[in-house]
Amino acid sequence: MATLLEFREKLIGLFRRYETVATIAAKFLVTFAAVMIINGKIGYNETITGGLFSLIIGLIGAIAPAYLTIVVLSGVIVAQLYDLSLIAALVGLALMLLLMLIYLRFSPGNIWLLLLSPVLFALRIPYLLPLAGGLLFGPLTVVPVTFAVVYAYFIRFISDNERVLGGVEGEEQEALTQVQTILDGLLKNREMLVMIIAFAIVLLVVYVLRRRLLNDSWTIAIAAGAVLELVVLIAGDIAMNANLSIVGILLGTLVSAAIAFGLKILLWNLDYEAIEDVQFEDDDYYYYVKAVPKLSYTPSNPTMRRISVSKRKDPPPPDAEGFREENYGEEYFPEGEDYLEEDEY
Amino acid sequence: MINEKRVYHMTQMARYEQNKARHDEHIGSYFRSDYISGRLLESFFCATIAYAIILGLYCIYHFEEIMVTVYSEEVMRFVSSAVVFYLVFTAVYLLFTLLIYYRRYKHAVQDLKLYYIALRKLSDEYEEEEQE
Repeated sequence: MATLLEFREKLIGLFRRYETVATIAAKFLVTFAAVMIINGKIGYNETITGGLFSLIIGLIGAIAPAYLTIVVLSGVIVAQLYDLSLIAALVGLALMLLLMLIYLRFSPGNIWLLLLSPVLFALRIPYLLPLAGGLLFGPLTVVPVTFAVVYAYFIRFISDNERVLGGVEGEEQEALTQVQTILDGLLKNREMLVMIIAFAIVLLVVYVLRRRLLNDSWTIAIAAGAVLELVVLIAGDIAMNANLSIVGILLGTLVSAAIAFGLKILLWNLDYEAIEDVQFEDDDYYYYVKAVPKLSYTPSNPTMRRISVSKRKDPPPPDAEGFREENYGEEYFPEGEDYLEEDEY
Repeated sequence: MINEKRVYHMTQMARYEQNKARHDEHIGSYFRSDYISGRLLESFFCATIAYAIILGLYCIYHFEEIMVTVYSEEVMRFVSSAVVFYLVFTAVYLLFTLLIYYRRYKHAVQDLKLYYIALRKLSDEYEEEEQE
């Protein structure tokens, strides 16, 4: 635990020292990674799929506010889809407009979860979304988490059905049929529906538990959230025949819980063994207060090294501060001679 | 001699000025009713456009059934259902808007009030020191 605390203090100290650069770098990396992942799945336009364009989007994400980055990324998705099929691009545009009209206009702080979602889905740990959402934000985080799942499955569906949607010769579809195919791919996607329901339940449970006045509320919330996520996903898979990978869910949830626990150590480190309960009153209220101290890292005692002082040829005058005659041997005060004459004191 | 407590408070005030003050002053410049009613009006238009998109997608998805409905006597029932869903959708969305912006206004005004109290206190301290 001491090692973890030491690491935490060093990390926080490093971040504080280079806060501006670290924030810009982190935003750039997240946006760049999201663009590369999207282009990897639906890279139909060569210009947009190019490295230079992804770099430019990453730079925009580094300096722009989060909601603007989401709008730009949605624009990239629509532009990519336009090269495949106009209808797919219009459906993507409709999804983007719904996101902006229903949620983005409130400029919420939890929009970063939406930005991180392509990276989490690519790493097979989307199960971190409800855990992190419940720990760090409020119950309305259900909205961006739901949009994140819908976007992820929309992109996956387009990628898996590009032959049909792209109008390969002999397999052309009418516009109406294309829209119905895409909407079928979303609305009848049981895997997506099970994920949305599971994430919504887990997020709300984690949020409620971590706000309770319990000792180790965050640890309880993470553990309960992870177990509930497993149970709901497996139950949903069985009930709705969603064809989810049980091993994938298990490993993904374990890794997500470990990352959530790391977040807890970084952000909410309390010493529940040193709780103080105090009571006091003022003119209006009687207060029952539970004070939980934060766990802090105390560096170990620095090693002391003695440095020996070499004998000086000329000792300091006797009236100098700290002068002690016994520190200076006979060679400084030869017999019969005074170091200083009386009138020189 | 540096007054550490004053430096601490001034640092907190400077941080507030740098980060939140402009946003809170913009909110605080409105009366509560004006601020919330302006946001509700924006939300009304956003909800209408969002519902139009959802209804459009629904109509395309169930195109054949809707075509049958249009040419039958049940078209008024379809229209009335659409209107009822629109009213419910808009009402729920406006309710969320009201809750979110009411809370934002309350916090903004509270933070501004604390900031101005701290500023006045700092000013009084400086005046006392000058008189001494």
